[in-house]
Amino acid sequence: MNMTQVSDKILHQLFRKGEASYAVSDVSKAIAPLVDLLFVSLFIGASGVTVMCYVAPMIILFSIIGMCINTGARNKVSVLLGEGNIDEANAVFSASIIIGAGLSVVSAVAVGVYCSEVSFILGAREPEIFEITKLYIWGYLVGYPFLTMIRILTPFLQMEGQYRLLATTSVITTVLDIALDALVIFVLHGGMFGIALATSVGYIITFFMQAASFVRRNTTSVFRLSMKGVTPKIFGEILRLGAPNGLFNISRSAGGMLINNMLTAFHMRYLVAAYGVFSQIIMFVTSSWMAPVDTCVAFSGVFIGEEDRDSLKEVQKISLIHTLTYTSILTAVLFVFAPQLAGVFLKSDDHEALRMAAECIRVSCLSLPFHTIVYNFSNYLMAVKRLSFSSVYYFLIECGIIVPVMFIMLQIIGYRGAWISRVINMSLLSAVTVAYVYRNGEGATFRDKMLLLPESFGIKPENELAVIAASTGEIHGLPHIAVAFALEHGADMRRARNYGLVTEELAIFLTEHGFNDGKTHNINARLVAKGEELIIRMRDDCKPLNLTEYYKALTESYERDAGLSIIMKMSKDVQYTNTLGTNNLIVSV
Amino acid sequence: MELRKEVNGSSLTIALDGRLDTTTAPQLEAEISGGLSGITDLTIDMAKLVYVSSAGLRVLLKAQKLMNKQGKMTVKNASQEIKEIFEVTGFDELLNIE
Repeated sequence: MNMTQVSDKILHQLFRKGEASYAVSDVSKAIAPLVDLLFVSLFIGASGVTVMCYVAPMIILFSIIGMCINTGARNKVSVLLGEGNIDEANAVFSASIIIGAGLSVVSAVAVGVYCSEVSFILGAREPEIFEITKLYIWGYLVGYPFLTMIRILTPFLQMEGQYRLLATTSVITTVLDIALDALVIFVLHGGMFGIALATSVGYIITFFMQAASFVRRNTTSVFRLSMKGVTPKIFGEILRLGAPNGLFNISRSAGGMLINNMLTAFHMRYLVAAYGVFSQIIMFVTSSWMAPVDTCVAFSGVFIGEEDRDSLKEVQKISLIHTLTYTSILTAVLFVFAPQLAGVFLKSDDHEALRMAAECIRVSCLSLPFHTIVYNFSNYLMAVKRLSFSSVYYFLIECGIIVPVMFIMLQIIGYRGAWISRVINMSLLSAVTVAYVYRNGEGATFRDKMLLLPESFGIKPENELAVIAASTGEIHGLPHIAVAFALEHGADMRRARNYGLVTEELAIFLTEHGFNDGKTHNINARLVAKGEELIIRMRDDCKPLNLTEYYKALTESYERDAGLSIIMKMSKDVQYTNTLGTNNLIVSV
Repeated sequence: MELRKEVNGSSLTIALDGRLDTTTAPQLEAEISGGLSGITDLTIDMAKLVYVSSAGLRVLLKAQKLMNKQGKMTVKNASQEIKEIFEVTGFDELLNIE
């Protein structure tokens, strides 16, 4: 296996870890509201389901705060960490938590105070429904700030490589929600307030579990409760980077309302319900293809900061392959089991309703493979800060194309136009994507253009050398390679020797301290010549090992720490980050 | 790395030629472990040594500790680059450098 293949293998392993974590987390989040709906529909009845439908748009709008900050902060911090700019990354991290907490508390209090007015606007007019709606909102508001902060913390936990914690807390939240729902229904007879409060309690516990990891562990992202970092510049940057995500949610709400109105105006029985079945299915299965997409975005930010063009291309490729695999499998499953799924999601004895729902599923699922291109592209646009087009693109996904297309198709072919418009929407968006990449991407190949980065991005191949080591024995050649590399790039003999020496000591330190757990590990060393600078970038997949903190705690044990002294005193700069479950060192000699 | 030994009664001079790193340090270590019996004066000649890493420093320290019990050890003819490494790591205070 050559170096590129080994490097790709490490990347694939890291990607799968991140992807699995996102998938478990997203699936758990999808299950919780479904479970709530099930408990409510079975044990509270139609009034409870009605209340949930009324409050749903408010929940979607509330989610915008957390999603905007989540996306903006993640994109900003991942690039800063990739560059080795830890202090600024921590300032953004802390600011995002404070801003998210502040905004969500203020909005929760405002809605709580004007709960009657909000309930009325949402559509709860009948006296009994009105009162239950208020109670449900109050129960939801208790947990809302914590849900916002969970949304913000999630990408940071992924960047810290805390995949197990993320998956565990997601599962615990879901299990807790189910248990508390049962307690509320069967023991406390708490009604809709109890159902909402049960969910809120789950969010509160999850938040503290996740937040504790940033206090207990030696994390790269460090929270400082200080308003110093909450500057207009950082606030503006977070919102600017996250705004497209906010627009996505607004477009989704608006598009949904417009489509519902269009279908209602068509005056065909069961049309809205049949169309809604596929929408419900999509909500549940989205996590399957969003897991690789979100993982790709997290990795992309770090690799953009590291100017690692090859890893960026590889991670894009992995994401596209995985997304296409999952969507293709889903398409096949949905197509085959359409009638059964229609029966599960549409409680009806009317054969016509079930037939329409099954037909809707069978036709609409053909749009799923196009989600591969559309969602990989839409999320990646934010990683490369193409925010204007990202906003436009999100609008097109949820509203800009599908609404007019559906309107035209309903006129031309009747009710089936509703399902076919989904397929047309996604295929048109895919075409828009390909056209945009061809027009705006730079590079000789389509893969280079897909990066949507300048051709000058990244380190030129002649200024970079990657070396993989999987054992102490394999690092023996590293210092010789480093010395030769430095000499090739204009260093004098003394500097070249120092460069080789620091490279050797870094590798020895990592193997001695990180390879001793009995598991297989790899060190990925990138020697980089950037202008006058000679840089060593080392990434390893060992346990978290902060070399700079280790050095600060140095005692006079010359035998043990000679290597560390060489690294710290002979380097101009040493930066450590732990991202995506790996230790990353950027050393300038 | 080439290693040349010169024995003169109870004095031993080991001249190092090349690099003293993770690959070659075991070679010197083997020499020290087996070859210091009866030696009261050990000299490490670094005139032709071009590179030393922490692995090499550990072996030198081991040799120094051994010789502290039975005599003395001296490091001589180290280049400026090698001396710099001794200073950075604090080994200039542990080793007897001429």
